[in-house]
Amino acid sequence: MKKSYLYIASALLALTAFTSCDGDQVLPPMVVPTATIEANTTIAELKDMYWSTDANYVNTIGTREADGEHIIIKGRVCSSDESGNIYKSLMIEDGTAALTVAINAYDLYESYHFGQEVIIDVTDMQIGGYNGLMQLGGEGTYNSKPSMTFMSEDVMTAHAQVNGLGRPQDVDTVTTTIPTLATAKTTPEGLRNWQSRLIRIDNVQFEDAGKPFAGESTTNRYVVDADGNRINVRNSSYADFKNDILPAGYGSIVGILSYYGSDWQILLIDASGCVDFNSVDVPVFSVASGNVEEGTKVAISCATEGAAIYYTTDGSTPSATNGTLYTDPIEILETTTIKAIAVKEGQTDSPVVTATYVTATAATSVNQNFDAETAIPADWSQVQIEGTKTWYVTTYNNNNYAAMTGYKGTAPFDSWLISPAISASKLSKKTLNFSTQVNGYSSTTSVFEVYVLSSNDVKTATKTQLNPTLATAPASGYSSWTDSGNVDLSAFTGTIYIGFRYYATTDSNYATWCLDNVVIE
Amino acid sequence: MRLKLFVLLLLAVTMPMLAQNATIVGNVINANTGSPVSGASVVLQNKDVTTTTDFNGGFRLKSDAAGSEYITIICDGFMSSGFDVNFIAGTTDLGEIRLQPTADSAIDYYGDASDLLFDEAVMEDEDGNSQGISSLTGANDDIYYNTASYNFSPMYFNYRGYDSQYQSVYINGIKFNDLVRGRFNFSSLLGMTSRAFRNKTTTIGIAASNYGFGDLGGSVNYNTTTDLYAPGFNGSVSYTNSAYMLRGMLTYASGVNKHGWAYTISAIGRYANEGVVEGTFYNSGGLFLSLEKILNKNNSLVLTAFGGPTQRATAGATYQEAYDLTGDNLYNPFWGYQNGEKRSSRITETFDPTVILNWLYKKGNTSVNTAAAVRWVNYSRSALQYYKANDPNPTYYRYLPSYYLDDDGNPTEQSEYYTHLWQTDVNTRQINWDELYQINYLNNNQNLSLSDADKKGSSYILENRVNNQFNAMFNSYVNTRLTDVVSLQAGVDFNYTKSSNYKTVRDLLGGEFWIDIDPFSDRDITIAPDNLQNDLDNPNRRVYKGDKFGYNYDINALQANAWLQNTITLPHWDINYGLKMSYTQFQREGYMRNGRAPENSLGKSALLHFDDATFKAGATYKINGRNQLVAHFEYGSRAPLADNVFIAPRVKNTTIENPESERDLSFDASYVWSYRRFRGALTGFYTAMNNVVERTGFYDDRYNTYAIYALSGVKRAYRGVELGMSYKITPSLSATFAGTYSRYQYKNNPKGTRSFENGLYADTTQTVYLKNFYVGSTPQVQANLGLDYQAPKNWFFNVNGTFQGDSYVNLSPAYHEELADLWQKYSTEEELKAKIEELSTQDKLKNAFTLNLSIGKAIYLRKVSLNFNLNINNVLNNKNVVTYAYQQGRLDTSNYDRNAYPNRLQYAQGVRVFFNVGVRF
Repeated sequence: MKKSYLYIASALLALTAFTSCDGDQVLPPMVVPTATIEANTTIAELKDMYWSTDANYVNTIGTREADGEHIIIKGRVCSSDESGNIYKSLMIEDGTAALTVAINAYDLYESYHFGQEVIIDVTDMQIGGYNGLMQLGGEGTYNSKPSMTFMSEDVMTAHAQVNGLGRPQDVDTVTTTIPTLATAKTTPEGLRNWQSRLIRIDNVQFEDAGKPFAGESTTNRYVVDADGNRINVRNSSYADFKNDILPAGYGSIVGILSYYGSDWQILLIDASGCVDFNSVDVPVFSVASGNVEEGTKVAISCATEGAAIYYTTDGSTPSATNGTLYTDPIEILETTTIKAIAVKEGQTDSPVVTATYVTATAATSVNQNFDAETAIPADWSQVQIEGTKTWYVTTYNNNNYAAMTGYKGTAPFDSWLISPAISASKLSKKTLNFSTQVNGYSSTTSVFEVYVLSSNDVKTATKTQLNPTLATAPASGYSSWTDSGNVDLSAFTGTIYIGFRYYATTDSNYATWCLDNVVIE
Repeated sequence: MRLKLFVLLLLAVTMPMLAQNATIVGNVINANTGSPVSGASVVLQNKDVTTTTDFNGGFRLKSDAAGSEYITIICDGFMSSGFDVNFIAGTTDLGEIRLQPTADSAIDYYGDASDLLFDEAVMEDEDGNSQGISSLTGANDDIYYNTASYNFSPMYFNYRGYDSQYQSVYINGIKFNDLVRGRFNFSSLLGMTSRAFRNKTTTIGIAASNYGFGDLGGSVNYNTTTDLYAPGFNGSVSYTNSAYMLRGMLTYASGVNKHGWAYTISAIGRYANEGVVEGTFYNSGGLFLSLEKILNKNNSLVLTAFGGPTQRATAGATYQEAYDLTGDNLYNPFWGYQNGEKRSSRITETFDPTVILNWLYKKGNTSVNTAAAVRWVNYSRSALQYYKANDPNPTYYRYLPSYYLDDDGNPTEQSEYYTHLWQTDVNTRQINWDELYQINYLNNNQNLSLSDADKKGSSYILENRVNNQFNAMFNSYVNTRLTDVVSLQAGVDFNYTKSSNYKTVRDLLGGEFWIDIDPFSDRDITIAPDNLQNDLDNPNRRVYKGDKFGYNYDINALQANAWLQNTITLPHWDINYGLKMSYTQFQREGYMRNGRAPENSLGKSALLHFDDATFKAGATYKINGRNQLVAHFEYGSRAPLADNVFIAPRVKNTTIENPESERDLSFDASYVWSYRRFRGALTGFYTAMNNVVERTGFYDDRYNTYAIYALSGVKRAYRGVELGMSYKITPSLSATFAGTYSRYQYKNNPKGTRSFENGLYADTTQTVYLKNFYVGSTPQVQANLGLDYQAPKNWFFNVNGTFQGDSYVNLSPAYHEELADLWQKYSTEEELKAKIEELSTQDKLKNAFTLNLSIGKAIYLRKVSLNFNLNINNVLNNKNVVTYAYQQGRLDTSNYDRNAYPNRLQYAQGVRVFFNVGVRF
């Protein structure tokens, strides 16, 4: 009896195991289209053969010169008319170049899938330009001249075969920048190389963010990069995303690089061509880049609520995983470059912004008689706001001094000689003293002025003009050296610079101003 | 007609040499039914010698010493029998030993309630054709089979996954399976299975039987020989909330009088004004007569006649959406209100009068049963037909809210409007009869101003789809014991069937007349005007009530079989082997020249004929009286069914290309144990059917035509394990477990031919990728656990729970073809693969659990006994049991939306009560 149980149990187990092998269910095989012709020419070669600088022209494609064989090209479909933004066209690319194929039919995406290989026997087909865009199509007229238009669908069917299924991952998306494209369009090579390509431009924002992609008619929407370069994103009023709202913030644009007249226009395949536009707002520094006093505190803020700011000071690119999470203002103790990024869950990271702070070691006294110098000393600087004439160091009677003149130059002149940084509050006497000498040459417009500057960037610095005693030009020759007297600097704090300005507008002659024995103490 | 002569192979009969011992042989039969009792233990009480009886009830015991011995015969479900026998040298034949069944045998518990199973076991395909479900009939000695018979419902359960055509049903030795469709229509037994057709012998699977060759799915032989009925009166009244509500049955058996006459008469009536499904009704009455004249000791004649008209309105499978909208899983779309009264469009009428004459001869070890039978099958089912009018079916897809959902599947104003209509307006969710009449009246009004030639026909009619048959059958078989060890069974049978198929106008619904054209071909009218005509020789014929129209054809079929079988009974071995040869022919004869097939619709088709043979063998090794091993094997060919071979029989004579017989291989092996308290059997089986033909029909939107999809060269495999066990906890309390874990699968990728009835498109043949998909609509895993308590004072209790699972939707070949244009919609390999996978997925039905209760009480008075039975099926009122489901034939090739044409499915009812009061005297 016991044995029986064992027999039953093992037999049951064995039979159940035998039964439970269901085997794999056989599915109908995939039907995949297969082309029977093979390419022998690249798109770049074809474009080269039939390129013309005319905006509008039509050529009938012949056979290969070498062997008389039909010209056959192959490319992957890198466009889709499913959204309606691209009209009666498809674009193919083969890595060497891309080509627009204009076909008088809708819903081309059903027969020619994005990423699908299309092989076209182009011999006897028409190739040419329509307002500068090279394309395969049919013959039409534009302004009474032959021009490209759409080919009938039958022509395409007769000449083209699809091969395999769509492989979107194999479509070549070329990442580029607006300046690159601006340069490319100036040469035929550039046009041939770039027209009809699927491109990507990173870090751009829509000028019209918040408006719809298109209005009642086809609408140009520009994107602009951080440097202010713009490119047109042209949206059809037939696009199914035309009422979608252009995203704010920075992101990337992916689309077909089309061309009309003399400029590029990007055709989005669909709204997903706007990539990662939900970026966090750019972080803002409380202090502008430039010279700062040691100990200056820089705050970083971001308008996006809840965004976290990460920054680095070692030059590396900050991210949520690299750098320091910003909490309190950063104290600048030495010359520092801060890179900052704002991040937020669910949104794309902001672009990285950079600020550089220079903590010039401000002097507590300056005593410069230029005698040891043959050129403007290294801790001094000079800036030419206008004109090309510069301050220089020269010698007379074994005395070296700095000088500036408009002589033999082209007016106007606005040339600054700037002292080293000075810690105003640390000066012992808080006075400025120097000597000047001037040769007037009958000039009437040449002026010498002295300022206290808040930074050595003259354009942006706060300027306070001083009123020292200056040399007066004699009728001819040089004046004698004139002491400025002790100019009071006690009104200033922080880091200051003394700027010596030579200024002149057009004149028959220009004065030469000489500066020596600058003492700040 | 050409009939081949068969030459039966003479089977060599091996005669094992026997030791010079004392041997006894005998046959154990059921004292009530006369059928053999197999599997009974025969024990020599004083020696350790036991054996079990074979399928014939036969046994053989030997003793090495002469002398008196006490023999005991034990079999579950029977009272034990014991007596003394005298062993003498040589062989002693004890003849028939009658075992008295115990009162608690299954038939008394469930018999009446199980009558229901035989009535309802019909499902429909997309075309509305009914598909048979094999019904099991119960057998005393097999726990698994018994449980399956009574408790593997309410999901439609096919034994071992086979179609009903693989199960043979005999009445008095004559096989009554329909030659055209292969199945036996259990409803032709009129619901009298528990009384008039009570006596039966069941053969499980490919085991041997003594009345016929049987089939892969087993066989049953109903025996109506008059003297088997216990004399007396037997009456019962039953109430149930099912297809019918009330049933009354009377049976009187006279017993044999002194002149050798005996008769049994029985009458039954079943009635429901409205069945459990709304809009259905049931009216059925039947009579049964068995009359016997015992001519002498060796010969008797038995005349059996039965038949009864049945009229009932039925429900059918529809969409889940409709069930959800109505909140009713028994929603029935086939009725509506007319003048405030419910009227069904789907009325089935049957009347199958049958007469059988048997001549029974028995002398010594030989019995011969010779029979002739005729049967007239009258079957019709009504349906609405329409032309140039809106589809009257409330579940037409444009009337369902889902049609108006937007592209993302979200509700729209229109879809919400339809939802509202469905939920509030009975004329939306049901047939709007008044509107159909109104439209027909408007036609009539318009006709008043038209000349006779211009008059328009009705827009709607109710038609009858008639499928009548005439069967003439003859059968004779012999059962003889050649020696102590060897017996032989052999038989010949012959069946002639004429199947007549046509439509008639049942009701013009107030219209003047109907024009006999094909509404489906209307759209082809400009291309092929003749296509419209169902009868090209009588174009645009006007038909009136009762007129035949649409199609009219016969299938004439003929089958002849001869079989021979040897059985060898040894103390430790029972062995049988046999061979059957058969000849089948059929031919279509059309009576209308159909405009869609003018050349091959009128007149006779080619005569198709098939020669087939089947070999089977089996062996039982009796390890001892308590343990045995059993194995069976069968290999053979079977002619395809006429129903599957003709591609579009309603239209034309065309058949599938090169129809061939299918080839089936089957084997099973069991271990059977039988201890005092614990008995059971564990069986493994494997069956491979090769070269099978399947055919389905559906309306194909793409081509605006009715389409037929015929699969040929199909290979299916059925394998599984069955376990049945019974344990007697106390003498009156026993627990029973029965379960199967099986896999019924397609095993190849057959050819499929799609044929268009409008004839505008050429037939296409393509590979259909089915390998390892499942044969649908039958659970492949089932388990039942039951407790029987035989309480004092003749109370009986049974409680059991049934789990049914792994049942799949009947699949449509269109979803398993290569789709040449699919890549245009799903461009990448991943998407394409995913879509192919999605389209091919075979939906699985929900697993079901039901709990059932039975209570019985018998009261024995002096001359009268009363019995009460209460069966409550599905006590937990589980209304989520899908009985069967099928995928629609057509595929949405514009969007490849898998849900565009959803599955059709039917649910089982919730709790079902059957209460029966019976009286006997």
